[in-house]
Amino acid sequence: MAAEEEGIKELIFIHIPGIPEALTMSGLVMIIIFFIAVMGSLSMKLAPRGFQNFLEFSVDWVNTKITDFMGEAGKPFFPLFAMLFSFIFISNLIGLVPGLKSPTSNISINLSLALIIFFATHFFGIMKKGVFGHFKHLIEPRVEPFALYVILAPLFFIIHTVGELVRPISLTMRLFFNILAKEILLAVLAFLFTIFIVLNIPEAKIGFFDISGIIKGSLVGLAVVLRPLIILLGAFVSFVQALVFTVLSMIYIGSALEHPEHESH
Amino acid sequence: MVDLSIDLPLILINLGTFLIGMVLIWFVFLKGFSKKMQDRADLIKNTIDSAEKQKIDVEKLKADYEKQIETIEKKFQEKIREATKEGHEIKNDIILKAREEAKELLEKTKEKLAIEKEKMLKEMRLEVANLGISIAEKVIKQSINKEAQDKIIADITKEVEKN
Repeated sequence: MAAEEEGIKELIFIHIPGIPEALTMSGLVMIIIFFIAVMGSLSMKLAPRGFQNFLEFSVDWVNTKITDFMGEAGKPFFPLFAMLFSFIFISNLIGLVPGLKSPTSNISINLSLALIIFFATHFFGIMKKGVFGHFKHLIEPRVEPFALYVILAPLFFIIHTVGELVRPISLTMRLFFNILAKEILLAVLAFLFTIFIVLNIPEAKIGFFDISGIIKGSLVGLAVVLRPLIILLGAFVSFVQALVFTVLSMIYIGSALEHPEHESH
Repeated sequence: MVDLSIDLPLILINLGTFLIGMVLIWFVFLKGFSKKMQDRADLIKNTIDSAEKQKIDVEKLKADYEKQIETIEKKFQEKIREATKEGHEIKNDIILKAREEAKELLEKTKEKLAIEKEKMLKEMRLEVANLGISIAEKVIKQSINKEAQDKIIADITKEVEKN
């Protein structure tokens, strides 16, 4: 696998000395998002057409998701989730372009995004409910009798704290492994294609008929046919993973903003 | 092996880049874009509301017109009924008058006929008398004189008149 990863690195077109590839790719994603934004703001018309239609649909879709998972309280977080979704989605997608690599196939990039959500969850939770109000769920649920609660409260605290700390890790790992798997699959297919082309098939005959050419052609053909299918699957995985990350972030921040009375439900 | 090493500077740089990018995108694009979308949604909503209001007004106006038409129709029907009634009355009057006139005319005609009949009877009596006289004259010409003749004529005339 390490050799394949080396192979992947060798295929990357953009190399800036001293800057990690993931950061270069992340910068490229930012440039793409910024370009789309500038294009969108330049071509704004009252009656939307073409590209503006697509942008309006995207903005509306993100807004709908926010309303679905956070209610009206989530509206102010629109810039965060719009940026998060577009960053992850485009990051995932650019890995499908030959010569480019998904920044989300780097664990540090994913962790930085997960940390933003982690800090945002607690920051806005504390802003909304105060320090005690926000963290009191760590020692819940309140059980009777009180003596039993005193014994169980530290256990609740440990379980809930671990649960809170695991959230950014799970967000990071889920995205990382899914995108890495997609990248590796594509790289392996490209690698196999190259190998099958240069592969020297030993002479094989059925009767007087030489089938070594057919075997070689079939192997190359299989790699050629599989690649677009894997690219399609990769596009689907890219969308689903961006959606999952964004929706989970909405749920985390949304639950932190929930009114204390609603939390027990 | 999969590289699971954490690069702290990379995390911090990406975190900062993401947040700066988010703010920039918000100010460059999303804020204005969302506002324009909201403005358009408001415009559409206002237009629909206005159209709905106009529709209600038109329906109200239509109802008013229909009511007016109904009132006019009722009045029209009433006028027709009145006119028909009046016409019937006039017709009945004319018929009554005509009957009376016809009756009067009939009576007058009957009276006239009676007079004519009387007159004719008188003339006929005179004719008959004259005829009688002339016959008698011829019969008795030779036996009686002129005075006796006149007396006989006067007697006959009286007799005829009595009858």
